[in-house]
Amino acid sequence: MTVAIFDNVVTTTTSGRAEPDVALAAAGDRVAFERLYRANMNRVFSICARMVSDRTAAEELTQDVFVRAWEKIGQFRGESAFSTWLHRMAVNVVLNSRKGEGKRQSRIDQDEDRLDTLPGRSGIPGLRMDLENAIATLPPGAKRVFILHDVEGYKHEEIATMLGVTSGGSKAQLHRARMLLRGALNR
Amino acid sequence: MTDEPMICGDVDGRLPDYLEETLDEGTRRRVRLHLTSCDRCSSLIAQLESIRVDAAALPALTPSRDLWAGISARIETPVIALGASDTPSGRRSPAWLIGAIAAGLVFATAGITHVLTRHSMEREFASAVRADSPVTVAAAGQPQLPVDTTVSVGRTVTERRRQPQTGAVAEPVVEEVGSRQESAAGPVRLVARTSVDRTYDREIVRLRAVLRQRRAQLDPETVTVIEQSLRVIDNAIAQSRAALAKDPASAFLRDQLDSSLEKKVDLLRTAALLPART
Repeated sequence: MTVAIFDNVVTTTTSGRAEPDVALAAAGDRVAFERLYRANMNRVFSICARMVSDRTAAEELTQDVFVRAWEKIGQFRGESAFSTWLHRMAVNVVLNSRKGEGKRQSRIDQDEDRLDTLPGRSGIPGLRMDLENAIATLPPGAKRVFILHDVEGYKHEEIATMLGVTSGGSKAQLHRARMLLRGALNR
Repeated sequence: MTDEPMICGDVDGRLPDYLEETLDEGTRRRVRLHLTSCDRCSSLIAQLESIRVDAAALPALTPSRDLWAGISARIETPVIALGASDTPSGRRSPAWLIGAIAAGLVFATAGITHVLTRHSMEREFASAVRADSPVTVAAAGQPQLPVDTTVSVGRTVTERRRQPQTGAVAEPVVEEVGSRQESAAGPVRLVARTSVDRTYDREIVRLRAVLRQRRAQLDPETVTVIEQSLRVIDNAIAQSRAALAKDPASAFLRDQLDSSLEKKVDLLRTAALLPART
């Protein structure tokens, strides 16, 4: 079920209940936008934190995401749930921030090809690494695909579009990530 | 050939497609057949499946601090409650937040005002030069002045068109609902609502709101000096407007008015950014 809130803002939640805060925020209501922030901040932060593996940077990126969302919310057409639109925006903000790192990132991406195992939890022999920590140690390319596919639920075709790779490349990175994680978790 | 049993190497090469369920049915059946007799491969697939399931069930992470203050300061002009009665539960914003908001507001609007006023002034000057006759201000008794839309700065700020007195020019008034215009010169009287005037008026109202919010944090003597200076500038603005009403084509008077308005905005900006008294 879809419900028209404004002429150009039509949106529903998965339960079919309209999201009036989206329409209010699109009309400039910052209090409504704060409610949207409160409802979505943890998931947006989760995407950022897992993608960059740096909580401080993730907090800054989370702010960037919501500032961008405020600027763009007038363009939201309700073709998907607001949260879906927002999370996609979060991914783009993170990816763009990584592109901005330029040559340094390029060197990292080259270095990652040499990695075929992940480090275990340093200094704590015998203690198994949990999945969250293991993800943080993945090489950037494999980590991005793993988070987008297995954690966030994007399809390979969507990931390929986001990352500018082929669908097959996305599948290969995903399998590599899973194998690396398996090795790290078994260590 | 298709029914040949697989070895571990065959399964390894097909693992991604097996897990994605994109294998054709025949190949998938052969992989399953291999798994029934190979602990190594069945264990491997079970672990990879477990990773996929666990990843999908990872809990959301929480930032170490509330990020809203930073976001709020960055999204355009912030909402500023004017007076305690406007603040929910009587709770007042902390001084540092108000200071940050004031700084953000001032810097964000300063550039915009400069560009807009410059652009409008150039455009209006160009059109005035092109005109064959002097610019005609609204005919007495029949003002045709545009009415600004509502500008929200905490409280509602409205602009209404006041019916002119006989022989007087039209007087659209910028007035804050629930409070009187603070200027000792009375309501700001505008002889013509140019876009330059409207831009200045909007920023002045916003900056006054910030200043009013910060008044309690500032040194009272400083506030007094600021208010005296504002009164002087308001008088200059009123005189410039009155003169401009009589000679609307005068570039000199227009410059004088713009200069006074700019001084007022600069003073308010400076005042809004003053450090809190210790």
